[in-house]
Amino acid sequence: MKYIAGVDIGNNTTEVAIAEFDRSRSFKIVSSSIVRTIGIKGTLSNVFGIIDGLDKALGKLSASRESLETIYLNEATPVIGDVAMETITETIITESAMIGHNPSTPGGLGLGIGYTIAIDELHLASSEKKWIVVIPDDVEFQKAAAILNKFYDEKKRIVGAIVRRDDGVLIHNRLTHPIPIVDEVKYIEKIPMGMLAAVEVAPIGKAIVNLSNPYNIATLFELDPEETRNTVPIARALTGVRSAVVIKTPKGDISQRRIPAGEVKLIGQKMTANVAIDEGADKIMDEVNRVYPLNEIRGEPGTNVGGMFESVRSVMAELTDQPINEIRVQDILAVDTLVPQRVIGGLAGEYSMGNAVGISAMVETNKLPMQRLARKLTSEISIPVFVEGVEAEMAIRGALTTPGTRPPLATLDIGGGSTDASFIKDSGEIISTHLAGAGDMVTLLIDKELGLDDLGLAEQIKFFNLAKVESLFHLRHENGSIQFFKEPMDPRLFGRIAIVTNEGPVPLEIQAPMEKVVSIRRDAKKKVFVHNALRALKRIAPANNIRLISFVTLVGGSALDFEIPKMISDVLIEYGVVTGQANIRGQEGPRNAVATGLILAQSEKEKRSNK
Amino acid sequence: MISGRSKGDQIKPTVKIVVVEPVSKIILNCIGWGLEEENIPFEVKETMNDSAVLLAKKEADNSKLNIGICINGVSKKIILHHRDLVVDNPLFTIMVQDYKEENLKILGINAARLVKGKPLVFKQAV
Repeated sequence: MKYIAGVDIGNNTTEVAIAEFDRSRSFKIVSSSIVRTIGIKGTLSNVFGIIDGLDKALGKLSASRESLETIYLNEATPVIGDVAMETITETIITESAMIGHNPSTPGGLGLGIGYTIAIDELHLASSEKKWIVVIPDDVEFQKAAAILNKFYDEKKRIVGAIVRRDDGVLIHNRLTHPIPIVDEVKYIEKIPMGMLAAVEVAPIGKAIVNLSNPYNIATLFELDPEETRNTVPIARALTGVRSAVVIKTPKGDISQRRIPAGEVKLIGQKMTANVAIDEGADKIMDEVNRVYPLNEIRGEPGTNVGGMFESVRSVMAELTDQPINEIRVQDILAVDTLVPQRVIGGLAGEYSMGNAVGISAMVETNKLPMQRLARKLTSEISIPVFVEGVEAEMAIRGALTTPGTRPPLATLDIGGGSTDASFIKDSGEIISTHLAGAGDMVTLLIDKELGLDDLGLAEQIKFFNLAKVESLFHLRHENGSIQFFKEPMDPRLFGRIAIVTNEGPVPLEIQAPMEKVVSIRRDAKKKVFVHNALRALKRIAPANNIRLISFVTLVGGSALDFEIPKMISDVLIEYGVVTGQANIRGQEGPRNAVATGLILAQSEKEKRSNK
Repeated sequence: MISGRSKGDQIKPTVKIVVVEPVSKIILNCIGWGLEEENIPFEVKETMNDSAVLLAKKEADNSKLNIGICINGVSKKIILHHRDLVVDNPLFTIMVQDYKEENLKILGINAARLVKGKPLVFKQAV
């Protein structure tokens, strides 16, 4: 038996389809495979992935490479994308003014207001004033409790305490007179002495009510309206916590500052516009739509976005052997987000939520050096290799093998760096588009919003369901179902949120409840995937009207995501579009579209030439 | 019998700590402080010498909170056991060379957190 192979090299995976043929040269696809792409798409190191994929697909037929007549590669569309984020607000505390955090076990209960004093200076304290006692690392809880009790007996009015160690409950349990105690305060040495301070601890399961309300802060500290305005960032940062300290210093001030984040310049075919990144994602995307069609987008040098634009261009320049000044960023996707930021000047390493804008950029060039790759492959395995067919066209041909579809049909391929869409009209004419913003952007958003600083972990959160480990032997999945295990799990998983990976649960060391992580993940996917699906379909639809598309098939890796297809389908249903994962040749699911398309194209070509 | 200082209902279930003497008072205190900081009451009782793992497992099996701790002063080790675990596979073991205040307090904290279903503490997290 003789065979031909279609090979699709994608950013992440290399897919192979193999067809057998008889003397009449009618092709029938009999095997396929999928392997990881080795190296960046279009580079010579791809060859090893291709050979691996061919061997796998041939192995299923118990055939050898010698039985391959020809190999067809796709004319890969060279699109790469990257992401960056600009923070546009930050909270700064000049002189220490607040501690608000969530030690797991603060001591006591209630609200105390008084002047700060170090525990070893209590003997100097007057019995006129009320005092908040500051207890550093070197005073252990038994001694601290004894000192507090002694001075309380001497009629010193002690109304609260701030503690370095995790000792709040231990101290409180040994006091003759209960007071609220906030513990685990990291930078206790920074607390100014002799200043008016308030300490509040809420009952278990409740959040503080006084220090999270600007007017209550104003009441406690006798603030004027202007000062009250300045407490807003404090109150906001303290909302929802179980314990907090606010200290008033003479010059103490907290402000939320806007950071200049630079501009992007949109150069369109008809007009040009500048838009400041700190105006937010909506404004940026409005401008992108207004200026569309775009020739080029430039970022301001010295900003994160400017740097990211440069790096995408230089990667593409290297990849395609073109001078960097000929490579232009052609599309961006901007997304608003809230990121936790360390409060500058905070005392317990506390965070507040700052506004940020995430930007994804895309560059597209004419041709990847696929011929070079084809020659290399031929020299490795001595089989003729041809570069045939534009990727978008092949994808559409492959997608049309999905049972229940016909033109006009659109395919959506949401990858890592870009969102690609193609549309085939009744007439057979095909249009396609590439947009910035896809999987990598979602990963970045998850990483930043959860403050993980670990893109690998963020990637896992994107791919897998979450679960809460409720005992050593069972976990509760995010959909509520319970899974039991025969062997005990690692105690490091106990009580934590876990990512349910194929290799088993992986603990997430963050305090946020599971619901919050789930909602961040889902929102990130909506902001990028759903938004971009609509943007892409509008561009390729007849008269830019999505209603005129009857069928949309989702292809590629993201179509296998556990929630993206439903999210996209949920919005497209409003347009009366049939949406679903493609099922290539009725058996491959959303995979193998381009590889299948390459073989179909070849088959048609030969039929035409025979006639 | 010494009981935890936690102020609460006396009929509350408690974490049981069994002690095979001789055990220095400070060891017991450190573990107790860990439990106390997490607001979980505990009880201490003395017993005849036996394997630390067996004793801890027996307490865990009889405890409403599923946790048993044994401090064995003869074999010089501390075992934290859980009802659902097999005898030979206790959750935490501290050998005599690791009897440091921090380790002991963390054992107490973790016993309490197992009861509460909260993430456990591993060194340096306190």
